[in-house]
Amino acid sequence: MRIRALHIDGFGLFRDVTVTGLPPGLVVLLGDNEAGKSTCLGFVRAVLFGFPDGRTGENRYEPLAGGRHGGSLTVESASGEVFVVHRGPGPRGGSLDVRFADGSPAGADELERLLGGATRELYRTVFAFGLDELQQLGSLQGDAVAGAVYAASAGAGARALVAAEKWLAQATTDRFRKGGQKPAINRLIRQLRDVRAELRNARDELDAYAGLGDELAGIEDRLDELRRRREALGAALARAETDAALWGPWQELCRLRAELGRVDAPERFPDRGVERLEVLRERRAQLDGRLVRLDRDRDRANRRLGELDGDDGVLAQAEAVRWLVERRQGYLEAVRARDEAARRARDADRSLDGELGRLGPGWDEPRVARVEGTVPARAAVHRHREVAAAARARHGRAVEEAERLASELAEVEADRAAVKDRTAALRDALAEAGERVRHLERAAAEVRRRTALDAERAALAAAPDPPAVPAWVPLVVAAAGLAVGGALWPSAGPGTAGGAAGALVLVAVAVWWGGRRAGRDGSFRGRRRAELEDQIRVCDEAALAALAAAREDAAGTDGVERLLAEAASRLDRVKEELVRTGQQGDDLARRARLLLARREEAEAEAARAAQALEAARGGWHRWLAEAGLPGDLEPEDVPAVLDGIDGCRRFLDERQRFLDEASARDGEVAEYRRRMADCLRALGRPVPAGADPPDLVAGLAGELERARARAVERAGLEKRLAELDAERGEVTADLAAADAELDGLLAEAGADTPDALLALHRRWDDRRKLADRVSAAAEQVLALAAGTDLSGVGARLAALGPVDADGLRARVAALRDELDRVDADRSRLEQERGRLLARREQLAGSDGVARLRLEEERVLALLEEEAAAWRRYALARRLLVLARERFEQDQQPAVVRRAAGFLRTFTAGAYDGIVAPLGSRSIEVLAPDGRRKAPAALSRGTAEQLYLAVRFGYIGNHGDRGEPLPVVMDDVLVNFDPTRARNAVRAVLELARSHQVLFFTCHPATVDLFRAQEPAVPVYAVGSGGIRPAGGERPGLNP
Amino acid sequence: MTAFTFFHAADLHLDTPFRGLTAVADAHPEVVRAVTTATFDAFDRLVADAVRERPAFVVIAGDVFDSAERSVRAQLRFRDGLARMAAAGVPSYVVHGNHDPAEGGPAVAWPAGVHVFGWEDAEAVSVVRDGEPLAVLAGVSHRRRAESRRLHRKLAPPAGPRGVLRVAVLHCNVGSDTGHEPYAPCELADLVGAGFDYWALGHVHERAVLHEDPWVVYPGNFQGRSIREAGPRGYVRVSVAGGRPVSVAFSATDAVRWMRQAVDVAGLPTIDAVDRAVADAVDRAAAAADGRPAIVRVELRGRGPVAADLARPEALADLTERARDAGAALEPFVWVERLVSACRPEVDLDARRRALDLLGQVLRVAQDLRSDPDALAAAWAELHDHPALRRDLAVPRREDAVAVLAEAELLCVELLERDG
Repeated sequence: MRIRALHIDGFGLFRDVTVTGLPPGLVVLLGDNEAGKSTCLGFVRAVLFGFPDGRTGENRYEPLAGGRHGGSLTVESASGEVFVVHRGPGPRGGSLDVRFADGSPAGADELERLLGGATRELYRTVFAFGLDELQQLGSLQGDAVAGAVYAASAGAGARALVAAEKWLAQATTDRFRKGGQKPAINRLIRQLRDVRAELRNARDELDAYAGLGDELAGIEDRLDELRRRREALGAALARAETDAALWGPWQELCRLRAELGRVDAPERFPDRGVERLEVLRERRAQLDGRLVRLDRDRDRANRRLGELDGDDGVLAQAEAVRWLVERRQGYLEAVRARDEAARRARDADRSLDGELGRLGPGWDEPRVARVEGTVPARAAVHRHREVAAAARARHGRAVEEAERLASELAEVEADRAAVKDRTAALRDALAEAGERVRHLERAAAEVRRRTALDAERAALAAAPDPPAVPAWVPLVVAAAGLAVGGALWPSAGPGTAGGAAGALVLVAVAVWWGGRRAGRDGSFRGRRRAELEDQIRVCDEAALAALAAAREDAAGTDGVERLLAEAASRLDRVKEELVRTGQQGDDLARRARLLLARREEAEAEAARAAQALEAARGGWHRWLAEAGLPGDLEPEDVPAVLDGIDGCRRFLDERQRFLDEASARDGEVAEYRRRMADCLRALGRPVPAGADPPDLVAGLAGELERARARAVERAGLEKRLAELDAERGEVTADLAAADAELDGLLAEAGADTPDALLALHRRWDDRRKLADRVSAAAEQVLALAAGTDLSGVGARLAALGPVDADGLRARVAALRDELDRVDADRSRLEQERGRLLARREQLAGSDGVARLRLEEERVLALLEEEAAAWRRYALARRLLVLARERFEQDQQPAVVRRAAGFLRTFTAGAYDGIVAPLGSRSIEVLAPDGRRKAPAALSRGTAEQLYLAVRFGYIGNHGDRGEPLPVVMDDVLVNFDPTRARNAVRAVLELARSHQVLFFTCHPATVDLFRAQEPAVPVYAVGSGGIRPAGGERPGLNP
Repeated sequence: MTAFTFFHAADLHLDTPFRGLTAVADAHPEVVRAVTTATFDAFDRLVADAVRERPAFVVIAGDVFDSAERSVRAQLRFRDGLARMAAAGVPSYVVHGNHDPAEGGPAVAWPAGVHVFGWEDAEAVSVVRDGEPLAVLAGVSHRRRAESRRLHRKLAPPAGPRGVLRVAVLHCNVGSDTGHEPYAPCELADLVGAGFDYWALGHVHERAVLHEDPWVVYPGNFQGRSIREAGPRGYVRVSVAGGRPVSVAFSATDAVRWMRQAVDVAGLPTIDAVDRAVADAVDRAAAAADGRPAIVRVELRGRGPVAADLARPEALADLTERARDAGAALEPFVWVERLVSACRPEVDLDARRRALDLLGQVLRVAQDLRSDPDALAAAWAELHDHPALRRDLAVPRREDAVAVLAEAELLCVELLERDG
């Protein structure tokens, strides 16, 4: 698109300015400061993209010289379409009017299409810009530009790149940072250092283990030495103590030995001579005592034997007495049982008599015995009672049936009489109803005729009727009469009712008659009417007569038909009932005949039952005779008689049983008495009559017991006497032996008497005691000397030289002190050894190092884990950096590539390329040595060249994809050095080959620069409120 | 000749700590107790087995403890264990390894019934039981930590009666690629041709039978101490008949078992489901630990919708904490050493790499770095050059670095697509 013409209505200092024929390509517009270059730039922006919003503060170029604010541009598209775009101020960018060249409206859409989606902002910053915009990087960071410059074709990853890099940077520095304190690995390094320091300490302690061994060995050596020293001291002390101990006993031994040498006494004495003497004396005394006691016992025994004489014959009857004693209780029992049986036999006899008495005279024991068993008799009685009861019951039932049938027959006959009466009454009612029907039929016929007459009379009713008693008056009266009659009929009887009704009917007739006379003076019609009236009257009379006959006087003619129907109905009902009653009578007659027959049958059965009853009684009397029972007994009485017979028999049996019992017991008693008598006779004793056998037996038993005791004691005494005799012999022999022994002892001791022996013993014993003391003293010395014999002891003590007991004790005390000191040293060393051993044990068992090593390994493992994570993150970071570099170098957006070309042109290759770092809205330039420079690091001119290059890159790229938009620049080359300005002009000319470029400048030198490279470049002068093509070599302000 | 059995163990490393446990703390005292006493408990199991089964002898081929640890209690526990075996009539034969070299040796005295081979020259000792010679053992110890002598050359089978087992005891590195320091270096062929019936070796922590007849055996270490030592650990029982080994059987002693459990996230729609799958993995570990406590590393693998969520560090941390709480409550416990994610998202990275956008550029840069280890190292130089970390932080090996690169790649995908 290019601008062919512009017309400014009013815009800034311009008013009504028209420029036409603007060429494609480059147009240079030269004007002084404030000539309106920026205003032109603002005008193009405003018309194409709208007026700036007043709130932004941007210059809206209100018309200063008058005219309507706004204007129009005539533009031509690349395809040659021409549009006139007019815009004035207004809301939302101002009022837009787009028309085709012929003035027909084209619409805003056409402009949109031409502008290819470029926004006002994009156009302002990239296509139509001044030095201010050029110098700001920010002007290239809008979304539209940035989207094209910085992220194109990087794909989805580029958007996340910055976040990813940030995340990885954090992840790596969280784990490790050179010189850091907090990151995990830095912390672990410190932990590792700490744990290793602890480990070193712990190991140093363990190294002490070997040192402890040496120390322990030294202590052991010292302990050994002390042990040896103690042994030596102990030996010396023992020796000194022995010497000290021996000193006293040895002196005593020497003294006793001297004393023993001086004693005069027998050296020998019978072994235990005195004891033996005393024993012998004692023995002899005991034996003498025993002899005396034995003789006394023998006398006593012999005396007792003499006392034990008595009658012992009872011993021969011991068996018989034992039998009697054993059976004594049985005998007493038999006596009691015998007496009891006899008493009960008598009781039974009495009871039998009583029972026979109850049976009545003529009954005695033989007769009772004759009656055969009562059980069959009871059965026969039961049978007879049943037969009789059955016969009686049968007779009773038959009689009762006959009576019942007779009663029923009587009822049926009564019913038959009632039916007969009812039939007669019905026949009367039938006749009466038939009569009534006939009367009512006649009345009905009259009424029907009257109705016909009424119709005719109605036809004649045109003529006014003379006043007369209305025809209905008599009729009403008559009807009232009939009604009264009807009402009175059921209660007062036909007479009264008929009378009352008749009276009223007569009144009616009289009234009717009066009325008729009054009408007789009428005309023909009156006559005819009179005729009719007559006929009606006749009819009414006939009807009323018939009704009266039917005894329906009060009913009136109107209800005749209804009455007739009712009467006919009643006639039918009476007929039906008559038929029913007839059938009923027939039924009752049949029933009466039947009952009669059955009554006769029942009476015959009663007679037969009476015969059977009689037969049963005959059988009963025959049985009584056969059974031997009184003939006057009724079956009900027989059980009592049989009970009596059973009682008699029971008492008979009882009496016999007790008599047998008494007899058996009597035998037992006799046997016992016989054997007792035999026993007494054997003992030669009289058999007392009447004595109580049990008492006798008790006496015998006591006698037997005493005889037995005497026999036992006698045998014991005889045995004891024999023993005493034997013992006496022994004691006598012992006495002789003791005497012999005493004689031997005296001879052995060389004494005549026991007293002499004792004196000898006293002298011998004194000497022996002294010798014992010598021995004891020697033993004491030997015990103390511990293995040295007495001569050795003597020599040892002698070797001590002149010494006494005190000197010896002092030496012992000195040695003891020395020993205590050694022991104290040993104890101290042993304690020390124990302490060292415990320490060594503790070191040996300590797992401190193991735990620290585990901790060290744990920290190392954590370190390795964190390092692995760090490596992963660091490597990922590295991957992103390398990928970004390559991407930025190899896959730059087309805009950036084009821009790089322009920059190379501007800077004559001083800067090789442009990089838009991925993920950031910044650009950097690439020096030929590969170094990157941010815009801030560039000189002002170079930075402007960079930004201009980026704009050119963008403009070129935009043009490739659609309508090339006109480019408007306002003195953007002022900061370029001459060389780069030339290069830039070349680039502008190159751009102008594809785009219309309106280049504003206030520097004629700039115009020269363009003309130097493109002499035909069109130049317009801006100034004095107008824009005009400039002529001549140098454009002037006023063409 | 009498048939008999002997035990061969090595690399006890008594009283040395577990590695890689980041979170074992006072909150779980039973775990702390178990991991600090595990090496002792494992040794006690060997001693108990020996006292109960009375093998003819026990050989311990070096690295009983770490001299650097100066653990007296380790030395005492070892001494006491040997004494218990000796009291039960089981003699033991020990060499020093690189971790417990002869110089600066133990502070404790060995009990009777224990023979410790010297370092200057090989020694030979006979094992005689009930008057019958069963075996002749030759051994030599490391003198110092970095033992560079070819110690196996000092060992020659001693002359002895026929039919007597000849055992060489040595802590050494057979071959060149064992993953262990090349101390006392030797080649398998040297050992096989040396005339012994059985080489009782130590040093390599993975159990290995390098050769049969003659047998060249590493029993492996006693107790795993890091995830690199997962699986059962223990000693071997060698059955001997006619003076020659006839079988070598493994017997586990580890008191705490290290293990790995994998969880495939394919088909797991939510973190919730991952949580359940991890809990199942913990239960599986408990079942697989033969009734002992276990330390397990749970590895999340495969492609799934949850991969992006799992790329967030806090998600893994939460899951780990939950799994730890669940495992610590088991009896015996299962301690989750770490929960690591090697899952891949369901995106087609190759297709993304070809795209011309920024993400494609990132993935292409990563691809380029795969073959440029120097560039990777440069990315980490800041950390690894830190003087305090130089000793403790190893520069990742190439394959580890590539794994980190893959993680970083995924992280970039996650970050760049976060709001895109």
